[in-house]
Amino acid sequence: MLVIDAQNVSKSYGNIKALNNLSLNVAAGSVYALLGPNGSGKTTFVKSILGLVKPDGGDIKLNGIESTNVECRDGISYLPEKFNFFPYYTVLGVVKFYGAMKGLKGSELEEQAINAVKSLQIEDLVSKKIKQCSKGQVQRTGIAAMLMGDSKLLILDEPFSGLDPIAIKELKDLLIELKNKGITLFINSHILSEMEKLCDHAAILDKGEIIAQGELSTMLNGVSLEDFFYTKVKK
Amino acid sequence: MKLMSSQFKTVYINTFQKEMRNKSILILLALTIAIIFIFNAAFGFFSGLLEGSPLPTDGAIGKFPLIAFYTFLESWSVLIAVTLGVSIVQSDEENNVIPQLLSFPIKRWEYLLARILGGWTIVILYYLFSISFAQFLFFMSAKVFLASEQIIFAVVNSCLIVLPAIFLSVFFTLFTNKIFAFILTFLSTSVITWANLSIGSASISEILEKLDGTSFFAGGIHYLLPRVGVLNSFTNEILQGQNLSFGLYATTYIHYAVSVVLFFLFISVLFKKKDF
Repeated sequence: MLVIDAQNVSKSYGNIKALNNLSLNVAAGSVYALLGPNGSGKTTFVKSILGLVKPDGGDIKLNGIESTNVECRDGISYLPEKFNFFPYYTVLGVVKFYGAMKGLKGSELEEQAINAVKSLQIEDLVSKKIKQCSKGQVQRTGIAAMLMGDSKLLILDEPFSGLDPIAIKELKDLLIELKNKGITLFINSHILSEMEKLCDHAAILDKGEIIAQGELSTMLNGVSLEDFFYTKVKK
Repeated sequence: MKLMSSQFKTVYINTFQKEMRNKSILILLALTIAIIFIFNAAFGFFSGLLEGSPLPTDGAIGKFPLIAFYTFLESWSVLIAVTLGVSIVQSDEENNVIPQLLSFPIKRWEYLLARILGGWTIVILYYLFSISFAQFLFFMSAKVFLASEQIIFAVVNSCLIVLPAIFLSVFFTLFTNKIFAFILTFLSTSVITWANLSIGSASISEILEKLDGTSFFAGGIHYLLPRVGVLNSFTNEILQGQNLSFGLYATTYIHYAVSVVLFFLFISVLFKKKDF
């Protein structure tokens, strides 16, 4: 089953083509990496999926539902590149807010929030306000918030950005754990070394166009992702 | 079918949590309290001069000060409404929170409505607090309780007047920054009031008879946008003890309801087209 089905998606900002006839499919249960240099259109595509940006043309379906219909976002969690929230919220408050936005309430909301902060090992931060947290702590809070509501598709925009090596390792382990639970992960990143270990499918985006995509091992054919990426983008 | 989605409720509650911390609102609230104290002291002073003469009920502070007091609180509430209105959506953009909020299964109009209604509720609470506080002080100093049907009408009317001000300020923040939106909202409110007063109770046929550029412009505003100028004049007329015809009330309030809904739909369409 296709979780993301994008066909001929285009988006321009003035004369700049951010996305040019982009087509991409993500199957349920896969870890899909959308790779590309800065400014290649990765974030624009993610925002198009979520209905935050209106494509000029093309068609996007999430779980078979048109992306223009808000119901398609049931069971989806999104972590933006620079996760941020109202500074006066506590870490637990943010996680609960996300849960409430996904329709959780009462003891279910409390229970899931506690489990989410435990998964990210931020139990000792629950009462800390977002404005007092470090960049890494805020990012972990965002990831904990994403776990609320039993989402089946997680969309992460540059999740490793701003994290120290320990946090990167822990996040990677968590993502592998989620993958093993059958959750589909769609990750935008340019940290190729981490993505090579994590994803099973990938697409390389450059200047708004897909220049390579497919199952990772088939696509790489024994070459490292870094070399493959470099060769494709530098062509 | 649920009347409100859980997302709507969450955003509505979040509007309180967010705007109760709005420094501009807190400063305005402190100023309101200070002005009410000053007003009460002035009232006490003038009452002292009249010591010995019996204090009438509604006329305790006379009709003019009563109108002045309500006009002040009403104008002040509009100021609060505009201050809130320019912030309720814009601050989500400034904090880069809006993409996250809209990535949930919430319709854009629901988000917008939750923010606007949340802001409106805060202004109403602020207004009711100011009125109650002032009433309390008057009661403590003069043992006179200034409650009447007219005052209740004035309060309800003022609550209605502030909603279009919030709408306008949200509308302008879709295109410009807070400061410009603030200025544009005040200018627009003044233009609407001018249009309402210049058209007055003239019928469409009367307007068409002497149609020129100015009357066309004023008529357009008068018929398309909520008539805050008319509602404002209702408040003053009622406080002065004048009787208004039921027909005029009915027309104005029906027009208010329809134009507010249409204006909201218009803002929603613009908001829906926006990229975040």
